[in-house]
Amino acid sequence: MAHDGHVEEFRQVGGARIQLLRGGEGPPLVFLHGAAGAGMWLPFLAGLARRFTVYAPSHPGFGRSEDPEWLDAIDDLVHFYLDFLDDLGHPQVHLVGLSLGGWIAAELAAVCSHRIGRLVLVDAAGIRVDGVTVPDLFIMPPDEAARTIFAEPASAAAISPPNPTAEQLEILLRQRSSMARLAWNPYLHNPKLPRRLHRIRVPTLVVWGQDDRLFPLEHARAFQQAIPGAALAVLPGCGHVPPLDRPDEFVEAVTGFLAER
Amino acid sequence: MEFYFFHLMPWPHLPDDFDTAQRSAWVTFSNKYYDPERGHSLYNRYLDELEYAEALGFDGICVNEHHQNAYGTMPAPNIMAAALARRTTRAKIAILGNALPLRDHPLRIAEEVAMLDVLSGGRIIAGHVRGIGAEYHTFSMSPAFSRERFLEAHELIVRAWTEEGPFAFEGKHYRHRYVNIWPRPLQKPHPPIWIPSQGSRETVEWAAQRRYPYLMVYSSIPSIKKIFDEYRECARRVGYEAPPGQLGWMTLIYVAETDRQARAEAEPHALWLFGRGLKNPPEYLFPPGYMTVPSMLRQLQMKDKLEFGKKTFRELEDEGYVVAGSPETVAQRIRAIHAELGFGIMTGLLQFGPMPHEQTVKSMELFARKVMPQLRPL
Repeated sequence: MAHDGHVEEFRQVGGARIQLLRGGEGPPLVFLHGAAGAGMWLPFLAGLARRFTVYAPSHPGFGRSEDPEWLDAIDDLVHFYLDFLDDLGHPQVHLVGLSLGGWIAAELAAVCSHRIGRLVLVDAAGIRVDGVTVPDLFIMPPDEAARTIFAEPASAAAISPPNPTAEQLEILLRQRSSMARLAWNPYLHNPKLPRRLHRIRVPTLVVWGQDDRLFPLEHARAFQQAIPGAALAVLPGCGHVPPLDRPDEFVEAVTGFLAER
Repeated sequence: MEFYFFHLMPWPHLPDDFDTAQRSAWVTFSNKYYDPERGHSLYNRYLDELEYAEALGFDGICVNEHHQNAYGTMPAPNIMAAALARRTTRAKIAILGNALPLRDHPLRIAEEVAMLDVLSGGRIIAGHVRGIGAEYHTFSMSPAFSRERFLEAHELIVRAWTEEGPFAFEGKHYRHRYVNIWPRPLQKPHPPIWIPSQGSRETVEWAAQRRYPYLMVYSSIPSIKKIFDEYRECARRVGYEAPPGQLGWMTLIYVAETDRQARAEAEPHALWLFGRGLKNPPEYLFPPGYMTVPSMLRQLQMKDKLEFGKKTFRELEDEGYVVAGSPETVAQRIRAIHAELGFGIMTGLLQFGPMPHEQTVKSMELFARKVMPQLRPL
């Protein structure tokens, strides 16, 4: 397989039939996507696949994965990924989570650090910081939401095509519905997570867009302080989604950290 | 045909820059624009109008539940039903409806409606609704659980009304060790349940299967026709012919001496209702998960709810959102629409927008005295 190629497969695991993209060679890396972007082999994944075997599953309720009836809350996804990691079979994987996926990754690392080599949280959801008001994406018109999330207008178009096909529209609506199940209230966080982050016992890098207008840098610092030994990399010119706003810099920062010994 | 007089109790005093400065009359439209002193007069005026509808011979009077908005200032419809129960003697009091999923303790609805039924001598009609999408922003409650909470709360309430207590209820969202409501409702087996809805396929099927009267609100005649046909079709599939009494149409009605006068007098108030009171962007009306994906795709095609704010009065009339005219014209129009839709419940909104009391009363009287008698036999 070419370094920039990937395969799509479907697996029955953890009580759901899910879509899994896989590409590259090297140590195993699991990437957990955000609210959008499921099932897309985006350039930053191809970049990571130059050094790693990248597994990019679509969460149950997202992309082409099915909507299981048991999906109600974030801990359902955490337990799903415990099964997923068992099924994958590697003793350890690097875990990289973006936004919603960062929230899942942090929860997962807090309960099973032993399955994780290194952890990267990218503009992760999951915590609330006193004094910071996170904008309500559910009530915003789409253009305002895009301005809140992306530093680069092209980033929005990469994962949310302006004229979606029927299948893309259906996936979009399903994903938004899944987000409403997982993150409406408490909004994009688990009040219990901050108390649990100290359980993360693996080298951790917190990567954050300098201009994240959804979760400002206070969130990055809160994660960094709560996770023992965590490092923080702030990427200039990036909003909430650095891997789309600045894919090369993002890949470099993540690859550099994961390759450390 | 049965006639019901529906009141929304709108807050008509919007700021002059409302159209340009406000995204909606709901959720985020500041309550600094509500004046309790004027509200006191309005509540009492609106209740007078509901009570007068009984005197004029309407079969029922209707209230409903909406939160944090200027469209209708009735967050607790059971309170208004209680006020009406003591001041009326004959008319049905239809609560259209209680928004079941918004409650963390729907047993409270079972109790309140049972109280009202006993108090009113068995005159309560219990509408069960989910609340509109905006309400899920208002309550910070995930719309994705709305449907399952509705179904579960509905089951809990019906069982609480009909089964001897105490019994235990184990649901996903609601769990009660002791369901044992005092009082029990007066009507047997329980107050009639009506389903006002916007036409999602799941709700149509569900209501038809249970023989619950289905009330279609704010929709064009072709949309209503499609939904009523689906209802009748679902009824046939479960083995019965849906009688007209199970289908209700709600529309704005205004009657004056002449067509010209009626249209001139009704127009600003109808445009207020659709353009201002119901002003809601898609993110308010259809938050994610509020509808199933197939229903959402269908809604995107129907577009009724997203576009009626842009319609002219003439278009609203042509499409059946408003019926206005002389008594003859209004009777003819309703007769024609009845022939097309085949409903047995005519629910009229005769006060809408900032329409003043005298004008409301004049239209009510003309409708009750000159239109209703012609249509009753239908």
